[in-house]
Amino acid sequence: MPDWVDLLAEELRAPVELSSLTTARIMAAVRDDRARRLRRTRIWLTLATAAVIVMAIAGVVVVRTRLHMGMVVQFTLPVPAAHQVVVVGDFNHWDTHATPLRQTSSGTWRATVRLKPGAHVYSFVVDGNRWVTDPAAPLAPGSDFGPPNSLVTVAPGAT
Amino acid sequence: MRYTGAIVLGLAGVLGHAVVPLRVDAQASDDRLRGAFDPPTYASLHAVLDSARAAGLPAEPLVDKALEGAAKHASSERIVAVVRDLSARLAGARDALGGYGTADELSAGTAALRAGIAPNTLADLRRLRHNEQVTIPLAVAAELVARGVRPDSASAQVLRLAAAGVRDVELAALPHSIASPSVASSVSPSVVGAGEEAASPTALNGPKARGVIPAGTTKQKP
Repeated sequence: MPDWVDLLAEELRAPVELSSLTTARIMAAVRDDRARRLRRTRIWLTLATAAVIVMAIAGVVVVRTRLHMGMVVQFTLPVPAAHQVVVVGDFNHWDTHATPLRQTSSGTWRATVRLKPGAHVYSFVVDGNRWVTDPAAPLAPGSDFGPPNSLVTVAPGAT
Repeated sequence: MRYTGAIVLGLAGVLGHAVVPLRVDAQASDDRLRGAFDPPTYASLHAVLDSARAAGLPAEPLVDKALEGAAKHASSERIVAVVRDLSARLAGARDALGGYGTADELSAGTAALRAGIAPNTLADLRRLRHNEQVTIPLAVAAELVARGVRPDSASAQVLRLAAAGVRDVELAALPHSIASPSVASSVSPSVVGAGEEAASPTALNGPKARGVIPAGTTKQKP
């Protein structure tokens, strides 16, 4: 092998002397790169946290909705001669104005109410002063205030 | 740090979303009571409600019971006594359910106990369904008794189905499969004889009940 090849190799292996300006630039570039990576990590962390928060809120909303999702219950009372029928119960806080029934052409009074899952007690009030239990439903256990109540069990909504 | 601030705000939002409606509900309940009773009765009821809340019991069933009494024109003394009694029964249901329960669970538990279901049935249900609500099984047990089933038989049926992992929606159909002489006899003439509509309550758009009682056919609406 010629001597000039060894000389060239030795020359290439020799340490390179950089100017202080170049060294400073290189070190600054390394620091910038680290800072950029740190920023990127923080952004990803923030996005991940935001996603977790959004999912948590969505979870709370879904659970709430599922818990309150019941069934639409149709109340009917066959009293053709009545002038006014309302249904009152724990679902409308026993408000005698909240849920009036409408009379159908057959004379039956009817109303539909969405009830949350569970047991509900209710009664009909006919013509403003006559408390009538539902002939189609069982009586609720106990009668605290005189007229008894009827009982309906509502299943959870479809899932 | 601004990211920490955002996270804290977000978590506060989640917490707020869960808690604020409860406070709104409590205020609405209080307003309803105030509107329905004279100041002395309201004060007496408020005291009972405060005691219940302090004991960790739900106030809503108590408010509803008071409003039922007002709607039926019961005397103030009677209403306060009944509400106080219900508060004690809610506490009894909570004890039977292992010391905890949602408002719906405690209400259903109270109704079940009042129907004659034994307290150990509530405890067994809680044990069988420790990760799920027991509102529907309790309500079903109470309704079975209301339809004429003996309390011990009702308990046994509900416990058997709960142990078998039967879902609430199917469990809720169980009472409609029980022929209740009092209900059936009062309903059948109007349905068959006079061609009336199916008597109420009829739940729309759900699975059909297997029973013989026309009123109980249920459908679910999403």
